[in-house]
Amino acid sequence: MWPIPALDHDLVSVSFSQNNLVCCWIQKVKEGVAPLTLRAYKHYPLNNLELEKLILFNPTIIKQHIVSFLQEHSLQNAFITFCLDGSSVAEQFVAMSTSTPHRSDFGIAVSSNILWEYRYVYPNDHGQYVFYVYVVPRSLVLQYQLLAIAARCNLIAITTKTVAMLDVYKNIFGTAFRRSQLAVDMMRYDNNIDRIISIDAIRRMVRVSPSVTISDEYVYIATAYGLFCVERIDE
Amino acid sequence: MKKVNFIASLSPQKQYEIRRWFWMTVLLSACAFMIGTCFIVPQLLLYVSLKKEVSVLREKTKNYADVVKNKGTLKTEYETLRTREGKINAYSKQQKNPYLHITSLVEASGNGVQLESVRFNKKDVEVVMVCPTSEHANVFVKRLSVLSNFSHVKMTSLQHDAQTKSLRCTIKGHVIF
Repeated sequence: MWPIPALDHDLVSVSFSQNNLVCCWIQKVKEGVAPLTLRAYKHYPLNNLELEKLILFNPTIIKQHIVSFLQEHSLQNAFITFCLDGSSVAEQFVAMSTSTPHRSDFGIAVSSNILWEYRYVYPNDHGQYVFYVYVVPRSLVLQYQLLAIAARCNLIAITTKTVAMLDVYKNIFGTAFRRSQLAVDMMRYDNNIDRIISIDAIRRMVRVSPSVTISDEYVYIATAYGLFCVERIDE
Repeated sequence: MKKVNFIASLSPQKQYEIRRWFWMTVLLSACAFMIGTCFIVPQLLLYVSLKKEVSVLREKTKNYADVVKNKGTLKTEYETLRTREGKINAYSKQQKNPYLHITSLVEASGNGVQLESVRFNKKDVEVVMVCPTSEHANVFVKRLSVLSNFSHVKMTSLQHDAQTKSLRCTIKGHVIF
């Protein structure tokens, strides 16, 4: 660690969800149809209440899983992102009459115990503006920060699965991305972003080895892809 | 859509920037150190060698004051001796130098003959000597008469000294320079 920590030009995304811990290592490739390749993928089932409602009840086991994945692929110096998907993070798509609302317009009580923010997503058919609002307890964020410290991870981001999937959507369309199209898709699937992103779209963007069953794991792979795109490690 | 991040962390770009800055700083510092070393080391070596030379010279000149003092003393002594030598030379080179005559008198004495006094007065000389017998006195007079430095050598008195039980003889003559 001295005099300056080593840095690898790699990004590892760790997805935390109910009873699941998924570690993904995605890299950019110059050859092939897909611009990215899934270099390593590991799905750790957490069936013994190690992780319940995103609260780390057994951080030792979870840390061991992350560390073993990083050591197995020599990724100790890689950038790490955590993606949370669970009921402890309250997420909602809120329609507002204005595109520039004030924080007080969301009606969320100001508290030092929670962390909340909103992002504009799309305009709906009723002339309203839909915002993505998330509320996360600070204690939960602290838990994951402590986990990263214990695992000696170079943690650069903690975000939600929804945000990662919205980034996937945006990156799949690239320069052709339009919020109006996002609005149509989101309203069609009742704001369920998971259903908008198809397996074929993921296949086009990420080359996945045959050992990984993409139909079962595509949500996690998509999440990892979204985090890779938003962090712009390749630039 | 703006990025959502629950933590305030350094972006990878920032981390790379910090890393580049660090290594550039290290590189430039190393270069500056090497360049500085190139300029400083020769001067440092020169300084060390000069310091050694100074210490050696200081060691050598440790007794300089004593040597100078001794030299002064020797110089004074030398000057004194030169003065004396000059005087002696001048004396020995003068025409009426009685040295040869005294030498002749000393050489002629001995064998029981002891010179008591020698008095030169212009061209006259008076020698008082102590001898055991009158024969000794005669032999002494004859020796002086033979020498070219003296002339008209004659015994003027011969007295018996009761205390020393010897003869005191007075001899007079002319000195030839």
